Amino acid sequence: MSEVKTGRRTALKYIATGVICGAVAGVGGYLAAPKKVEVVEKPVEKVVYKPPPKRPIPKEPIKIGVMAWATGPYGFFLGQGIPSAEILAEEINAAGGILGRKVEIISIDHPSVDVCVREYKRLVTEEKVDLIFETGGSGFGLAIAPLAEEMKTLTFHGDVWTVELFLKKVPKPKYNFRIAQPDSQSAIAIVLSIKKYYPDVSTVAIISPDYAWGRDQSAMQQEALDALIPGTKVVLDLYPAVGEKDYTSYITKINDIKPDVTIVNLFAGDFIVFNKQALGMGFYKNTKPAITALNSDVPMLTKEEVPEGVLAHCAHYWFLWPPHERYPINGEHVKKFIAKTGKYLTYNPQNAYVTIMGYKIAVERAYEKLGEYPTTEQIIEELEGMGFNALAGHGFFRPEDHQWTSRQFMGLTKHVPEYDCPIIEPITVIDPAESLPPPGMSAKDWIMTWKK
Amino acid sequence: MLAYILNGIFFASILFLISAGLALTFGAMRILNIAHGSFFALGAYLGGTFVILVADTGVPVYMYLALLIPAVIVGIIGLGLEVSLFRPIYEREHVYQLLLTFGLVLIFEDIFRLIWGTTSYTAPQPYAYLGTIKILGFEYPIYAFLVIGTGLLALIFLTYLLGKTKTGKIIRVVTENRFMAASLGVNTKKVFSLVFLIGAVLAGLGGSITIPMLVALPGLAVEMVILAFAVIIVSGLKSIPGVFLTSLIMGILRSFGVVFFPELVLFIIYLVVIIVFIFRPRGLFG
Repeated sequence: MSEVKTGRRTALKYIATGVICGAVAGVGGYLAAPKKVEVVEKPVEKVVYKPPPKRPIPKEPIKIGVMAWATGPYGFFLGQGIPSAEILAEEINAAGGILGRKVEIISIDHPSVDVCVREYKRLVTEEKVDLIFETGGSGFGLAIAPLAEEMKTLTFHGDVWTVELFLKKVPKPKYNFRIAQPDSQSAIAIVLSIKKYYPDVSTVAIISPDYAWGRDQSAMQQEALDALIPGTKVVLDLYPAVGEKDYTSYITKINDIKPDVTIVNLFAGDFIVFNKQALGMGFYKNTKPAITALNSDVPMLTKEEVPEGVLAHCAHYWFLWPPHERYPINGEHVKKFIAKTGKYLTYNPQNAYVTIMGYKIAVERAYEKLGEYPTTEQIIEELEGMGFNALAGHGFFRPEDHQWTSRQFMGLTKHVPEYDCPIIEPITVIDPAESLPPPGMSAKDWIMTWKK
Repeated sequence: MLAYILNGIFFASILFLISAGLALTFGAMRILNIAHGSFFALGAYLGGTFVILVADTGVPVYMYLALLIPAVIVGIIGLGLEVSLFRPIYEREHVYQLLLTFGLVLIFEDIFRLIWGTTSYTAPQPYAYLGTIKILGFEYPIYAFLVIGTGLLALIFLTYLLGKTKTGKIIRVVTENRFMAASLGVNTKKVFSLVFLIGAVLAGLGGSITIPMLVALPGLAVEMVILAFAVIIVSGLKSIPGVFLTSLIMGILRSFGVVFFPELVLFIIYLVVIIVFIFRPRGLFG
């Protein structure tokens, strides 16, 4: 171990360093030390939680965009939502509006899908509509459905029948709601009614317009026939062009084969031409027709054009059901509609009613629950699963896929003096439980479960 | 079998009534008149209107006479358009004719919508009144024979006019070489007006006579003119009987197509057009 030697000079150096450090620390401590503050006691303020201010009822009117392909070849039924919406807005406004807010209808005629998309965006961004009701057909609806989700705009589809809407295009809809029946439901309904009215059927012919809807409809009807009336043979499956002018060869072919039942999926102008030529060629004597789209054609048909006893499918609304005297909701609206337009009603007035009255009820209920004016999302929550009475009776929006649960109406045509057109009497009402595939399920998959 | 042949002839008669006029105007005047289909549609709307007007009189013959009035009206309108709009563009390129006639199609469409609305317009009374006839066990509408008869009458008239009359010979000369005809002193303006008038009358009559069995609605004009162009491409422009035979071939082919190859029936007319384009570009009778 080494020995350390400390001299006097070194000792003094250490002592001096220690003194200087002590002095510096003392001065620093003095400077850093808090000054003496005179403490004045004040009363402690109580912290109280303040909820955000309640959302007041806006003073501006509720703007409803009503879009329809109103001037096209199918305008006579696609455009019928507009006068119905106007009638409903007048009624609501006369009764004080929705929570005091007046209802304003902005109606748009969109002759093509691109115009529909453009106008949809304009209604949302410039007009700042609260909701949109659209009736242009499947192509139009499929184009705006993704936009509705993207632009967070409550959108009701009145005429999108394709199953693709909620099976493929928008599988988990939030802002999209559909009132129209999916075409799977109409296909099943027509087969159910064939089973009821013609139980001994063994051969069936199907004639459909040659485009996606017609081909889908025929395929689903064939699956439903297979499941519901086993042993039935489809002997003809015809697809004349949309807008066909000469059906004579198609009719001759059906007349040659004489199937027990012929399902006619033609509609509007196509049905008129087909039916006119069919009448002159003894079609109705050679087969029993089941017509899937008669409801949309009623305003154009006369008793001379449709014989009695033809099985007709009236989609999800028949304007004489529920009977007017026992169900004034329907009776009053039909009366006002005929007075306003001079025409009988197809199914789009029902769609307009579900949209506007559904929205009104949802807003009022949400307001009552929340105590403040609801946001679009809160209105949607209220709409999901909400049931209420519409023109065609009670229904509700399925919460899983926002599909309105509509009934299907079928029956045999009859001529009565009160109406210029043939009517359906007695009417057969097919419940959605029997005809509407469950959420997320195609008609085919659902039908397969019946077979099991 | 007979029913399918009749169906084919019925469709051929409609095709002929619209195609013959187009073949005349395109052949003689080299005018690509897309608005020719609008003359057919105008005839259909007017025919329906006149039938509805007289249907309540209780005199059935009025309904059939009413179907002739649109041919006159459409003829006059056609003549007016020829003098005022078409004449200045005869020497222009086809693109100007296309623009003008396409504009006319749009104007006519808007007029139809404005007057007759957008829904199917129909007047079935003359068709329903005649009822049906039973031939070899199948029912057939008697009115279809009226349409077939009108087509045949139009064929006879045009064949006689072009083949046996001086006017017809002048039209044929103008069709062959209008500059040569003009240099020989033929008033080509008058010939053009006459040809245009005949074309418009035939189209108007075609629309009017078929409305009781069909419907008129927006888009009819374009559908019909496309079919008419298909017929005159296949037939060529030089022979009216050729146009009739082509209409007949297409009508019967289509009729049997429904039986034997239904999947191809929509395509069949255009398939014939493509084949003729490839193997005989001047047309079957050109």
